[in-house]
Amino acid sequence: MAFIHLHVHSPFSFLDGASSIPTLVQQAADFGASALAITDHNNVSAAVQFYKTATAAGIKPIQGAELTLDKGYHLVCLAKNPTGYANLCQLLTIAYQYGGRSNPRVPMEALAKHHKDLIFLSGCRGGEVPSLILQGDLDAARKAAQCYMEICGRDNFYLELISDFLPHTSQLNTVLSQLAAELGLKVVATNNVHYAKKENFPLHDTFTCIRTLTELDDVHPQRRLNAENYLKSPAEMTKLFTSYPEAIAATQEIADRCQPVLDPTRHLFPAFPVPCGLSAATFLRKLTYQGAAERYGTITPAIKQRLEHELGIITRLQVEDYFLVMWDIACFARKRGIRYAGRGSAADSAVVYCLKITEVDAIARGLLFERFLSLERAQKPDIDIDFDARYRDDVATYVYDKYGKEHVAAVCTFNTFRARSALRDFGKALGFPPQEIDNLAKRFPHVPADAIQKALGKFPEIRKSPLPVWKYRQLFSLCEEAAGFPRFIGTHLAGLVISKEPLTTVTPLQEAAKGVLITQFDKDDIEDLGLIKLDLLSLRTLAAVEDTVTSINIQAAKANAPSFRYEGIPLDDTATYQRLNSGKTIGAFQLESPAQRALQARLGANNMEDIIASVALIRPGPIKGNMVEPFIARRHQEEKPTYIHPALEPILAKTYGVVLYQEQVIEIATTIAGFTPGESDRLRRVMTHFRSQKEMDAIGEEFIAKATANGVELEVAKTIFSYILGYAGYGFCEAHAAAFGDTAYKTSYLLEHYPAHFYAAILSNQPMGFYPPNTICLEARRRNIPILPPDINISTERFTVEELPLNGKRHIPADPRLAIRVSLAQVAKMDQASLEKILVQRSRDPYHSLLDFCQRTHLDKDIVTNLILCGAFDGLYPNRRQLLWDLGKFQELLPRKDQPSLFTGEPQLLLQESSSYEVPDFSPKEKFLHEYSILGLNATTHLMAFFRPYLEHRHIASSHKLEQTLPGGYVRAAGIVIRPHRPPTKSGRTVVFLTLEDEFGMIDVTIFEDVYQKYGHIIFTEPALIVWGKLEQRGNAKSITARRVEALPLATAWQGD
Amino acid sequence: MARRINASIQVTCQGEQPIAFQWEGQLYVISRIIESWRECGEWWEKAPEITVYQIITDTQGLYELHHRATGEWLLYKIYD
Repeated sequence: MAFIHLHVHSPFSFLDGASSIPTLVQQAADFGASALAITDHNNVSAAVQFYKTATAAGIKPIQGAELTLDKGYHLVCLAKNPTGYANLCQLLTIAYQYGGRSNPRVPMEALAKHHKDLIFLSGCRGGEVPSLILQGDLDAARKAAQCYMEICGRDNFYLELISDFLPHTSQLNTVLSQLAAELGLKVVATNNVHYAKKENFPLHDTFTCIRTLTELDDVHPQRRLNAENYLKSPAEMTKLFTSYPEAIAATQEIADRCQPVLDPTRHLFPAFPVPCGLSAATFLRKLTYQGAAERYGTITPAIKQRLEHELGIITRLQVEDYFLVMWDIACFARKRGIRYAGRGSAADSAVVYCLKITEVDAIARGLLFERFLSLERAQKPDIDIDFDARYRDDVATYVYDKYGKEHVAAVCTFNTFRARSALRDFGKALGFPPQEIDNLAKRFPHVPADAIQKALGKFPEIRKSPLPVWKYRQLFSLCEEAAGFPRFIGTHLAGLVISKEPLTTVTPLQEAAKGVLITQFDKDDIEDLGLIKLDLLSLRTLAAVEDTVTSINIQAAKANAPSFRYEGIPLDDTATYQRLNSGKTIGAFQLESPAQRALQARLGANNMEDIIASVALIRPGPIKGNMVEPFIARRHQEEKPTYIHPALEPILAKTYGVVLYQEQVIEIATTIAGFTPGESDRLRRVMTHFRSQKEMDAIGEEFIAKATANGVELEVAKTIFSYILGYAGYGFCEAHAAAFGDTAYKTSYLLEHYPAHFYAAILSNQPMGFYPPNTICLEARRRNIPILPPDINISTERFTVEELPLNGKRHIPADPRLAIRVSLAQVAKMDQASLEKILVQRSRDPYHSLLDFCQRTHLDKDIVTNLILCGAFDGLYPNRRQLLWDLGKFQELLPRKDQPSLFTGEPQLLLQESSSYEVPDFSPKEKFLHEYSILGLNATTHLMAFFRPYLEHRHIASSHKLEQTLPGGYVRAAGIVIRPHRPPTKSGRTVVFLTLEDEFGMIDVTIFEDVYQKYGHIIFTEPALIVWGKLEQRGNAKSITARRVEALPLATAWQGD
Repeated sequence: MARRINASIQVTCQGEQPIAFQWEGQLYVISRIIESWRECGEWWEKAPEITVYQIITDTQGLYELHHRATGEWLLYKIYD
């Protein structure tokens, strides 16, 4: 007899489903099942993946969910058709509105309202009817069953029999069967499946421990007694239900009543409200040509042809509304003065450029539109826009207001088990001490959870650790089994969806941690529902640019100088290129990593093409593809670019004959093999993803056949394809590189010409960029820009630029010496309300003393303590310990939380402002440690300065000394370790790059595989290192190739012996 | 009052159901299975899965038998 599983949990039951969707579907297919249901707890997040996998396996997907009702009971729900699915989405949305994000509950009234085209099963032992039977209250169970029957209809409510070998199972099934007969209801057999095979039970049991915050040795009612909830075969199920054949038959009957609910051909993007009488296509055309007139002045036939080509494709794909929506969003940002920049493959479009969404002239750069959008691919367009991070939410609010809150939501994202998170969660459940698990997890690089075993042998920081790795065999095995499973749902930082239908009929909506409503589908799955995602990204760099421009113009206004325009930055500024060539680019967008700095020091960039290529070159793909060295050699004409076919020269000339960009592959295929642009893009995708050799061989044969038919010699065609093949998976989107390149160059310009303003802006917008704030401060000091400690009467909420007086006089305005003042917001424990209080009171009158400050601001004692210890009161009284002493005297007068202030101004409460005797101040070292722990940076000095006597005594060179040392010899250097990382390499061998930072600057260190294997266990775990190795000169920069590495003994060095 | 025995026994089954067992040379005929269930036990300690049977014999004795997944039968408890 056929049996269909109708109550099945996938990993989207979040720690209550222990087998992947493909595994469940494959097993059902192996059993010859014609259908399968997925019924996760209070969500349908698996729906798209399940639909695709099941359909591909020839199985009918039945979409459902196991709802939690208002009294906490479970109820399984299956959608008969799209209407039923829409009702299920409504019920789930209501559940999260009613019960909150961590406790969703469907009220019975909602069930009564939204039950159409849904079939309900009474559920597991958590269901109301079986639960009441097990409690012995048969009357209540009968009433509950009648209630469900009346709400859902007799034909749509089934009593669920589960034979799961728990105590009282047979009695429960007997009573349920009798109750069904009494009420005229049907019974249905399920196995309340939580995993595919019996052997998956340990994973499920451990998931339950993680979910219930227990350990394996603990007892918890939610832990299952046995391993019977697996996807049993029809034969097993039929045998278990020999006494209830009708329950088996009902599974097929229900499956027959249910149809697939998703329609991938649905188009749900809303119509943009165009001006009266115009169609979306006409309006888009009008805007495009208006923009083109502004961008180009004269619209040449070539420009017109390109725009018509793009508009033709946009219209045929019926995505005009999407372009108009994005145009409208960009207009809003412009009107509000919100800095933005389009990025990604959208910069391949001249229409998008004319709509002023991107700043890359696709026509001038010869960019291929088909990389972005093509008829053959017919993929939904994806225009990504970066906004000033501070105002991205304002842009999102505009979208919500314009299209209605019912039609807009944020896209969700799923946090999945990776090595570190899995080790922490599973380690805790297995009862390992937290400190031990922390030590273990921190040693693992960021690899997937199923790469743990491989990592054990590969990485010395694990292999050579003192941790007893043999103890963790079971832990590693569970982690690997859970690899990629979702842990929890969160908010995608950028993605929004807009729907013409109310979204709750398409996807359930639930509140995320920040109060934002999110869909239950992630960015990939959401498009299969017929929705298009808008990517509105936050980019702190744009906030830093805006702050820099404001700061420069404040100074310019004071000096009566002309105001500065970021958009007017010349693209051929020699000083900016010299800065890039020096490799000293910390702070520059996309050009500041050690690899980028090393590239810049050798490349000799002197035009925008070099910058754009730089952005594309330092990526995992090109690095792994070993493109960097040939590119540099050809850039310096050390190697002559050769073109095997004359048609390649115009395509590859700008990258000196190297295939660097994805667009170049498309163009080669179009020119050499006569591929249509869409076919070429298919080739690009096959190459980029490289999922199958068979697929690659097939497209290779097609390329060679078409190229030879096009008149290209066979051997030449083969060689050209081998070039493309060599590129497989490595190339980068030129349009994206060009979009980023613009910001990269312009921020480099700011770095060169306005370093104080730019560093201050970077520090105000942390976290951003590659380096911690302390490194930015060091870099500023290195460029002779002092960092001034916070001052209670000067500092504001942001880092600010100050003109320094010299010998009591100011510099001349045209050449002021500038410094950066640390913000008050940087002080630990400072909150916005306290900050505002300080600034408001100060605007009335500067603070005269600590007591004056305390009386006027009534701040929490911890904040005042931190302000004292980081030096914010030094301007009023330089002895910090004395101030702390005084603060202690004020302590009882300071307000505690939820208490009114005692500083009421009553004369008897006022204290003497200074002590009768002087307390000795903290030592410089103590002050240093206080500042670092409170500010996360040191304004005036660097930790390594305190180690210098120790280091000099041992002939360990500073970064400053290394700059003056001739390369080629062996040196010893020491510093704080900054960002050690292992980029992928073509050979697969590990190369570690790190930076050592000291009080004078930085020195980059390269560590090859053999040295890494010896010292990896300290490289990634010690905060400061001593490195011995060969000093190398590469271009304009020096670096050390390490031969030996040791930990800097901090405690000894701190004593400075 | 219950006594924990935990002794290996010989069991006669009909299908998968126990119908009689021998303990210390004496035969006990099972008249009714009151309840049965399956337990995984401490899988992390490699404990085998067991099926638990609470049974009444024809002499009205109340016993708990364990059937391990390894095939072994145990008289686990006697309820006096």
